[in-house]
This record gives sequence, structure tokens and C-alpha cells, in this order.
Amino acid sequence: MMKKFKSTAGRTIAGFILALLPFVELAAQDSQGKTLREFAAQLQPIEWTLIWISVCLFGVILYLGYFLKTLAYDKFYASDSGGVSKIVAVGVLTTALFLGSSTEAMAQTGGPADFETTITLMLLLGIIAIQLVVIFHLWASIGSLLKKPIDRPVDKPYLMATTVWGALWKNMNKSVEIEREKDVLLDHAYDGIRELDNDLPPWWKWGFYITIIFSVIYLARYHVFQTAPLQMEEYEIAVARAEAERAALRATSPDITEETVVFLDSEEDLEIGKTLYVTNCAVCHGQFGEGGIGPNLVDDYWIHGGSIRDIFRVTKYGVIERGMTPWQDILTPVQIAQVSSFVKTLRDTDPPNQKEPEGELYVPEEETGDAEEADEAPVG
Amino acid sequence: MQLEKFNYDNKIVKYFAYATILWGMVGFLVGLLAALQLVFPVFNFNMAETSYGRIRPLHTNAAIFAFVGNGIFMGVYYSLQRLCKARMWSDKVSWFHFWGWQIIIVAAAVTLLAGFTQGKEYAELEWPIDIAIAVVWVAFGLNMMMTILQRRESHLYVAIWFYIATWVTVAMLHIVNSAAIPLDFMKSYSAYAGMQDALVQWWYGHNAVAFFLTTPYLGLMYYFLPKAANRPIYSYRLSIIHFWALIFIYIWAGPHHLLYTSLPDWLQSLGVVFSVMLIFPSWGGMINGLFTLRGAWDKVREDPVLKFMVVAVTAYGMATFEGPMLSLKNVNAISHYTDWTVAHVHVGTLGWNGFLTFSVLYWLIPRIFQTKMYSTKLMNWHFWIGTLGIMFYVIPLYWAGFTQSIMWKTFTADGVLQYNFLETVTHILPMYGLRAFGGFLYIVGASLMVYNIVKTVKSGSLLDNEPAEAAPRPSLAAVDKKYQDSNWHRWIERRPMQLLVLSLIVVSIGGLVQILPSFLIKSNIPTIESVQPYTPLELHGRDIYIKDGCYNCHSQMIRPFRDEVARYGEFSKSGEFVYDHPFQWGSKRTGPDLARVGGKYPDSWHYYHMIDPESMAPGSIMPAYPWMTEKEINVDKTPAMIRVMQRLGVPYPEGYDEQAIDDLMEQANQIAANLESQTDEQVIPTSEIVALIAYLQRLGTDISREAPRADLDEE
Repeated sequence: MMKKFKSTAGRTIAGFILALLPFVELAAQDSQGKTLREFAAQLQPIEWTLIWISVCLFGVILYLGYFLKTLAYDKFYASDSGGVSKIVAVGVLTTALFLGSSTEAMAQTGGPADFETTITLMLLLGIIAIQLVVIFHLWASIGSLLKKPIDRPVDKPYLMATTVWGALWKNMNKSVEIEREKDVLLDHAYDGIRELDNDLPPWWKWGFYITIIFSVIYLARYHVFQTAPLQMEEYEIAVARAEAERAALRATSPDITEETVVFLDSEEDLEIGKTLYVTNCAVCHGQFGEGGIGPNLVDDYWIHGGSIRDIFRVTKYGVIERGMTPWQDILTPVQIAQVSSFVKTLRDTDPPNQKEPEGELYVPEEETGDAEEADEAPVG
Repeated sequence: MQLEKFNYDNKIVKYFAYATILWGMVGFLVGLLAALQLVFPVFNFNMAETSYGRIRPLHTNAAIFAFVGNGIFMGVYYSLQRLCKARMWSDKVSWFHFWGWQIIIVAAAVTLLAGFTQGKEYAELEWPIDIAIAVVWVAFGLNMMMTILQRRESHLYVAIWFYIATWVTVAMLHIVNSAAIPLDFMKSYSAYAGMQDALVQWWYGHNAVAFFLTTPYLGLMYYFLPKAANRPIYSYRLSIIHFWALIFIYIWAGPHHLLYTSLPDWLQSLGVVFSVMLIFPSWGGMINGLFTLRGAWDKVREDPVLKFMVVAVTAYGMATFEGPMLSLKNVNAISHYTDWTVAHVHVGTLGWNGFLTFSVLYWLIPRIFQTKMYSTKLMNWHFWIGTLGIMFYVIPLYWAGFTQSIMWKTFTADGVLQYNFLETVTHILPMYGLRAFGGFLYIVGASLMVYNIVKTVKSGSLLDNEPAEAAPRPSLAAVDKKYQDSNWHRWIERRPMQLLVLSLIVVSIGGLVQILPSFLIKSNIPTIESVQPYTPLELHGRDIYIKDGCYNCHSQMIRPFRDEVARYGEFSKSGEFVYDHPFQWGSKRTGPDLARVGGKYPDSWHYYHMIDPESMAPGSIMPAYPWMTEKEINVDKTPAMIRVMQRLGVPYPEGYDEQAIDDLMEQANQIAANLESQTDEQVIPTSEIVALIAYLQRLGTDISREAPRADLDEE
């Protein structure tokens, strides 16, 4: 039996290596291993999910194949006809081939991103479908094998199971049957409590080993080979991505600054400005601009200037020492322009409970008619 | 062989059982109050003593140390005597233990509500109570170990291994984490600061879960579950492996409470991998419990005691799987600071601790009272209502935690945050409501139990001293000889002192490897030149922040995530916290992070916000603190505070304590004058609100002190 197992194991390993070949090639292109990481970073979450499903199914195939071989051997004291090995081999090879070709496709296709994703998804789904067929086949084989009668006493619990689930469950736990638990009952009792000495359930044992292996790899990746990003690096990646997105956005719609801002007089902009004002500003400046903690926004006296550019600037950068929040990280330039424009419309609305005037009298540009108006003309 | 006659002490078991029930109900009700406060802030009653920041520590302390604590003692005093075939070593020590623990609980309840706190979660109690806890804990350990040494059994059953490991580890954790320098009778400052304090605290906090809520209860499970099911334990060798693996690995996992903080990366990674490696040792306990029920599942359908046990063990299995998953950094990035953690914890406490305690009570009460439970039907009702209560508690909170986290992280297409913090809070309030309902159901179930037990007790009579007999223990040499061919572990099972020492060694390793280097190697906390000690007034403000439990809802730790930096400012660095005795990083954001709240709002904003949060933030669920404008700080304490800080290594100049009060008054007058000009109200310079505002306005500002913003200069 061991011999047979070894040959299956050999094939399995060969299959895995085959599956990993494209990865190895990619890694080889760059001694830093960066290509592999960049490649991994390109994968969509859905692709990762499918890859993981496929890997898990692969594990299921290996386990079922191994179990089927063991079962066949135990049931007939004989090696199997080779059929099982063939089924497992098909599963392994198709997985390997498809994984291989799909990763190569992903790496090499130069077409548009959507097209690449579609191809990858189709390939992954194809692999999973084939894996499911293999699993179904193995499952059915185990089921039919279990139905075959045995004409001799057996000591392996799973041989006595009648369903595939039952057989797998028993095989996974290696519990001694209740009927025969006297064999493993220890000779001591504590206040009447007896103890059995069942073996460690294999799934538990292997699970424990796997978490240990996981831990070693985890520590090695982060702290020895440094191929996984620690938190600072993760942060830099996220910021860089955000910057890129913002740059892309600005490429299509240029940024508004305190130099270029103009009064937005469309009803739509002012309506948005009003909403922004009520959610963000009313707390300090009053629901109607009458003032509160902050100065009123309805008279002609302004502490930091009353032109649209002044209001935009104060809103954007804040006046920390007086308690005015900087809004540049919270509102977009367009939003700051909208809310600043809305504030301009509050002039002379004369709401109740007005706070006394603060700052200096600001003479609106219309009245002076100086160059400022020209400055506020739309850019471009 | 001549049998010896002796008695089991059931009276002490009865007392601990009653204390368990009493404090359980108190803990649940205080929890319900806290849950209601989060939905309806009016339940804070506008009083310091009843505000959420003091109620929540009372709930956690009552649930953990009063309810589960007495539950442990009840179970240990019952099972240990029987497993050792011996009466407890000393009745006097038993009663000292019982009354000592109850007095500590009462003292804890009173002082927590009065605002005496060390400001570290699950370790809030001030130093005199900490010392009392240590004394009573030693009494318990002495009583337990002496009983074990006087046993009539030659070997120790697995339950006792867990009891011993529990005792020795809790003692270690409590002593190390509570180290502090007292200012006066009811105020002290943690011996550690900032990142180091955080590391020690979560080494403690995580292992309080491990060695107060888990290992002693595993011990109880190993005794009461096979008893109730009348089945042998499934696997002796599994119990050996999972016991040693569990206590060794658990200790290392503390840093998973500090992922993405300014804790050094190597510590975070250790926290992650040891958490992952914990899954199977934890599940070893679950398997050994559930598989012990093989062949008894028909009984589970009939017997409510077993039903409670099955749900308890299953909840244990779920929580110990979820824990490692939450320790993975990519999951933790979503779950941390949200209600997800709260839900996770309550699967463990309501399911595992609560239900196992109920099952033990239902099993043990009728036995010591020589009768049957008054009503099996009520037990079944308790079971179903309790289970439903857990569902209603955890499912909405999982949803709330996940939703809120995603809202925090959402950016608009323009690259700005989509939701302000308050929107993310008001959005999940309905979930908080459902959670409170779940808690209410749980209490309804527990009330049925109280009624059922009262009826049972009335119908029976306590067997104070239960007669028993057993052969004396053969000599160690004889036992060694008899068992020389059995497995290696049997050797230590007949040597309790060696087992105790080995357990201590095993649980010490993780802590030593993680904590010592972070104290000894300077590179773990890069120095930031501009970070200065707090001013005297800010120190007072910090005391108020701690006293009113602000840390229960507000973190002071901005993680290096794009959304947090956008929302709160530059991410936090360990060098910023070097003068924080204790650290105040927090573990939950019911309110926003405050690490860089300094300078964000004007003084008057804080003034109005503390008096009535809704005036500044409509819809806020923060309690109001109106008394802060009237209540005054004790200025005379200032020099002593400075001296304690100096002893802790905070570099105030020599003799600064003399000057501290002058500096304090100058800053206080300045803030008061500023407030008066902004609010037109009389402000007492020495009022609590002035000190608190001084502290809040300082938070997180040191780091940018050297580089004032040029763009703000007046033109």
C-alpha cells in the first residue's frame, strides 16, 4: 500500500510543480521576485477567490483519491486495478495544465484589462468544473465500493460505514467504535469519570501542523524575505494608489484653487452648497449664518476677508488658532467652491439672533469695481 | 485496605453558587443598561456615576470577575474535593476566600462608579483593591494546592491541571500588569508608558480571556460534562496535547489586540501567528467535550443540562475559530475598533461562560440540596430564550461592526471620505437596539433560572457535609513503581508542585520573549524630539479623561490607513506616547479617535460639546457632562503628581513640582478667559472642564510643533 501511495504522491508532486511552472518562470525574470508580486497584485478579488476554491478542490481530490485507494486496498487486500490512480491523475493534470495555461495567458495577454479578466475567469471556471467532475467520480466510486460486501472481520471503522460521509467522517477521526471502546478505556477513574485513549483525530493533527507551517511561512515572508508588505509599506501603496486616482481625476477636470475660484451662481451648485453648509458649518456658524461659536456670515464684516477667494481659502485651510477647521481633507475643491458660493448668498439675509459683527468692513468688489472682478473671471 | 471517612464541604459550594447567580444578574443588568445607553443617551442620567464610561467597566468587571469568578470557585470547590477525594484543606481559608472575594467585588463596584480607575481595560481597579485581589487569590491557591497535596487519589485529573495553570498564570498576569506608583490612597499611575504599557496591558487582557474565561472553564467542562453525560472522556492523550499547547501558545497572542498600531511589526507578526496556531489547541477542548457525548446524543435531546453544555462548547469552538481569523491583519483592519469585536467576545461570554455556568448550576444545586430541579420545563425555556438572546445579541452587532467599518473606509470618487463619523454611528443605532433586546432576552432566561433554583432550594435541604470514604493515597515511591511502564505524562500527574512549576515556565516564555526586548531595545520606540511631557493642567485633564472612562469609546491610535489619516490626521507613532502613564489607545470607537483632536475645534466647541453633545453634534449618543463646569480639580495634588511622574521617568526639570501650581493656574486662566470671550459665560479656571479642554487641545499636537503651518499666516 505504501508503495502505491508513494506513486500517487509522486504524481501529485509532479502535477503541482507543473502547475507552479509559470510562476517559477515569472519569478525567474526578476531576481527580486517583483514580477511575481506585481502579477499577484493585478488579480481581481473574484479571481483570487476562484483560485482558492480551485486549490481547495484540488486538496479534496487528493484526499478522496487517497481514501479511495486505501479503501479499495483494505476491502480486498489487493492493489487496485490502476483505475483510481488514473482518475486522480486526470484531476491533477487538468488542474495543473489549466492553471499553467491560465496564468500564462494572464501574464502574456496584452489586450485590454476587461478581456484579460474574462479569459482568466473562464479558464478558472473551466478548471473548477473539471475538478467537480473528478470529485463526483471519486465520490461515486467510494460509494459503490462501500456497498461491496466483505467476508472477513475488519478492524477499520470506516470499512463498516454505509455512506460516503460516514466513511469519511470515521476516517477523519479515527475514533474507536463505541461498541469496542473498552479496548481503549484507561484503567483509572476520577470520582467515577473514566477516560478513553482515542487517537488524536487526524484532521486535528494535520490542521495543527498546517497552522504551524503557515506561521513559519508567514514570519519568513514578512521578516526574512520581506516579500510581503508590512504596515508602512501597505500604507504607502494605498496612498500612492489614491494619488494616482486623484491625478487621473484632475487630468479630466482641473482643480479649483483659491487662485482660480469663482462665484458659482447656478441653482444646482448653490443647492449642493446649502446642503454642505447645513451638515458641516451650521454647528458653529448657525443654521442661517447668524453665527454661534464662529462669526456670523451675513453682514459685511469679515475677519479674514469676504471675497469668494478669501472664503474659499479660509474654508480650505481653516484658521486653527481660532478654531476654524481645515476642510481640504474632507471636502473636494468643487465642494468648497459650492459651499463658499452659498455663504456669499447669505449676505444681508438678516436672520434672527445675529452675532455682533466681527472683523473689518469688507467692501464688495461690485462697488469698488477694481481689478478684482477681472481676477474672478473664469479661467481659460 | 482500610477506607478513610471524611466529608465534602458543600456549604462553601452553595455560597459560591449563590454569589455566582447574584453577581451574574447584576452583571447582566448593568450590561443591559450600557446597551440602552448606546441607543438612548438619556439612560446616562446626566450623572458621572451612571455615565457609560463608568457603567461599561462595571459591566465587564462584574461579568468577568464577579460572575465568572464565582462560577470558577463554585465549580472548583465542588469538583476539586471529589477529584482529590479530600475535603478542602482549610474551612477558614475557604471562608476567607469567599468573603474576601465578595468584599472585593463590592469595593470594585463602588469605586468604579465613583471614578477610581487605573484606566486599563479589565484591570481598572485601583491599587488597594489590586493588593486585596492578590491576597485573596493567594489564599485560594493555597487552599487548592494544600487540598491537592492532601489528596487520596494518586494522580491528578485533567481538570486539575487546568485549575493549577489558571491559578499560577492569573497571579503572574495580575501582578505584572497592575504595577503602578500610587499618588494617594485611591489613585495611581501605571509603571509602564505608551507602547510598553499597551503591550503589557494586552498581554494581560488577552490572557485574562485565556486564563480566567477559558482554562478554568475547560477544567469545569472536563468534570461536569462527563458527569452529566455519564460517558468517559473521549481522549486522554488529546487532553494532554491540547492542555500544554494551549497554555504555551495562548500567552503569545496578546499583540493581536494591537495590530496596525504603533506596536513594532515583529511583535504584531508574533501576535498573528500564535493566534493562528491557537485554533487547534483550542479545538482540542471542544472535540474532547463534544466527542465525549458520543453515544449520549439521545440524552442531549432530553436533558437541558447537556443542551446548555453542547451550546457552551459549540460557542467556545466558534469563538476560538473566529478569534484567530480576527487576528489576521486583513480581517483585523476591518473588524478592529468596531462592534464586531464586541459580538465576538459575547459569543464567548454569553455562550461559553454563561451557558456552562448555567449547566453547572442546574447539575449541582439539586445534588447538594438532595432533590431534583423544580421544573425541567423552565430549564428548557431558559435554554431556548437564552439561545435566542445570544442570537439577537450577536447577529445585529456583527452586522453593525461590518457596516460601520465599511462606511469609515468609503471614499467618494473625488477621493474624500464619504461619511462623517456621526453618520456611521446613527446608521447602526437600530442594530444597537436589537442588541439590547437580545441582552434583555438573555436576562429573562436567567430570571427563569433564578426562580427555578429558588423553588428547588426550598424543596430540598442542603447536605452541608457530604460523607465520603476512600483509601489513603499510597506513597509516591509505590505509585512510581506501579506506573513505571505507563506513559511519561503520568509522572507529572502525580507531582502537583512540579506541574505548577512547569506550567509557570511554559506560560512565562511568551511574555518574556515579547515584553523584555520591547523594554530593553531602544529601537522599538523611535524618539520624537518635539514630544514633551504634559503640563500640570493637562495632567489633571488626563486624570479626568481616565476617571470618566473616555477610553471606553474613544481610541487614541490612528492606524496607518488612508481613511484614518484622512479622517483623523497623521498616523500615530510610538514615540508620541512615551509620557502616557497609562496609555489610552482604547479598543473601540463608539466615538471618533481622539489621538489628534488637539487644535481641531475651538475651546468653546469642546465646552458646549461636553455640556450637551447634541448641541454641537446633533444625533450624537455621547453622554453629557454638565457637572464639569462646576466640579473643580484638586490643585493641591499637583506637586505630588509631578513627583510621581518624575519617579516614573518623565523628565520634568528638577524641582518643577514647586512651580507646577503657578504654571497650572496660568494655563487655566488663559483657557478660562478664552472660553469666556467665546461663550459669554462665567468659567471657573480650576473647573474640570478647563483641565479636560487643556488635555484634549494638547492631544497629538506635539509632533507638528516644530513645523507651524505657513499657510495660516495672516496676510
